[in-house]
Amino acid sequence: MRLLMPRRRFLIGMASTGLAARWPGVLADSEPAPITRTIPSTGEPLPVIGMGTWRTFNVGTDPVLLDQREQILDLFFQRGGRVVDASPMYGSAEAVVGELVKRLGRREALFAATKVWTRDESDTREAVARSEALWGVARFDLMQVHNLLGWEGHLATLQEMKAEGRLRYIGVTTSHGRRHDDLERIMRREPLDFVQLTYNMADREAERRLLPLARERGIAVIANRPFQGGRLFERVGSRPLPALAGALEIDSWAEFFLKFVVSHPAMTCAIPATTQVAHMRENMGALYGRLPDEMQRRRMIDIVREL
Amino acid sequence: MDYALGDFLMFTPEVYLRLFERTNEALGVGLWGVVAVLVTIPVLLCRAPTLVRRLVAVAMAAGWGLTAALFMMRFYAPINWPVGPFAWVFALEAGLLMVVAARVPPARVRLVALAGGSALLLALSWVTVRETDTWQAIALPGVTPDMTAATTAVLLMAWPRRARWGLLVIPLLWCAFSALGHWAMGLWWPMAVPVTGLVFILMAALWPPPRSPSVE
Ligand SMILES: NC(=O)c1ccc[n+]([C@@H]2O[C@H](COP(=O)([O-])OP(=O)(O)OC[C@H]3O[C@@H](n4cnc5c(N)ncnc54)[C@H](OP(=O)(O)O)[C@@H]3O)[C@@H](O)[C@H]2O)c1
Repeated sequence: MRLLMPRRRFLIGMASTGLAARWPGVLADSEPAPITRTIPSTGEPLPVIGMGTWRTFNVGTDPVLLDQREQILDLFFQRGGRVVDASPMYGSAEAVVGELVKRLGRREALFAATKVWTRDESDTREAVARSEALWGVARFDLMQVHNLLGWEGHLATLQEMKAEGRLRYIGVTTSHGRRHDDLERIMRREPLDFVQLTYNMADREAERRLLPLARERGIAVIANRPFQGGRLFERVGSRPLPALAGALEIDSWAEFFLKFVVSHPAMTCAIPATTQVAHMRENMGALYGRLPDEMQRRRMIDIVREL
Repeated sequence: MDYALGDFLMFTPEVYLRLFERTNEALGVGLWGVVAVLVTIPVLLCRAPTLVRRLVAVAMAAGWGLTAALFMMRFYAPINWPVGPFAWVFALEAGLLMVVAARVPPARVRLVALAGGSALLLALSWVTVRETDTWQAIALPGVTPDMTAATTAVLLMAWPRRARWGLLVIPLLWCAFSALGHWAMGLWWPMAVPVTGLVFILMAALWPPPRSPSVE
């Protein structure tokens, strides 16, 4: 009898249904290893797929939606995810992540990344404390200055806090290709662990200067909007996957887009956001299998360009 | 690469539409109290003597207050920053309506006008039901902000113009803000409520003063 489900998908399915956790012995040797990248400033490995929370985790106190988002986060952790990115700008998202991580008892797995988002450059410590309370964490893994808002004052304080051991890593963020010149200047001048910027198959501006500079300066890079806020899916519509996807063990367009992003040599992690368990399952597929090489990346670009 | 209107939206349409269900759920049997008041308003406007007709403005004020406290402050503000300050503006409108209740009564309104207005508002109340497939998401005036603003504009036509204009500013601001939000979410049917609200506000601003004297 033929096995109808590919082996990789079978194993992933086992992992995501929790069976792997119940029968660790059965799968211990065969579990595929997640793809990781190291944070240049310390060498700490991170899974290349994280999770964003803009819009998707801003569900307030809605009990029905909290339960549904809990399933999404649960699957994310089960599939080996660690980096969760939020911001005080995202409404209730920080509080929601905090509540759900507590419910799931997953503080150990979580790489907590949030942002300082206030014009008041003297409010950095208070802003960090507010976020700590919402997330229920004693110390953030990564604290970023959101959209470079008040970055000079905030970054100086974040550096102090890092030196005091109050934060593990610090960084700055931009998106939508905004303020790349400023970002470049900051990357050259300041001792950053991370930068977060928009990088996806349609928005590749960062490839010109920022990604090479990040490699040169040893700065980890987080790609936000890896699906261009979802617009990439509108572009492909119901088209079937190209033949190249088979060679790369890619099962969905989501995986196709994400593997492109995280296969850039400067990239540390991508943080797609979703409201759907099925989409989380697809997205986490990009954490396993093969990544495209340079030639294959070029073919991927041509494929999307021709859509 | 640039911003689109949707990029500024902080929440998904799913979360927004759930606000209607959650607010109605939180009201519990109180929802029937609201329905009773809503049914009484046309009766008062049609039949009641001047003194009793003033209660219409009191009921409207209570609706703005309830909307501010429950739908806006408790449920909507945590997912949408600008709604918190807007809830206070709603409370201000409630205060203004109380002032009007004390000073200027509405005119009597003809049955046909009341029937037409009520049918239109009932249809608007149903839009969220259509969108969510559950009657528990019904958007009642006095409970949900768009319907409260739209209904206020309709009812204000029973007042003399000088009393109306000041009371139309807050509904105007809200309906414009809400219409933009619906646009960003791509919720085209529910967008009909704030857009119709804007039309009502324009009508109320221009509508001739009621024929029957407002002070008897
Ligand atoms: N300045 C900054 O710091 C900044 C700016 C922008 C973003 N960010 C961060 O980056 C994260 C990601 O960016 P983003 O949320 O704007 O955009 P994104 O991750 O590129 O796209 C999210 C959209 O893609 C859809 N999606 C996700 N997985 C899918 C799948 N497998 N199949 C089909 N559709 C799928 C989602 O819809 P469904 O819900 O239906 O799945 C959602 O509409 C944010 O959440 C945030 O944490 C930071």
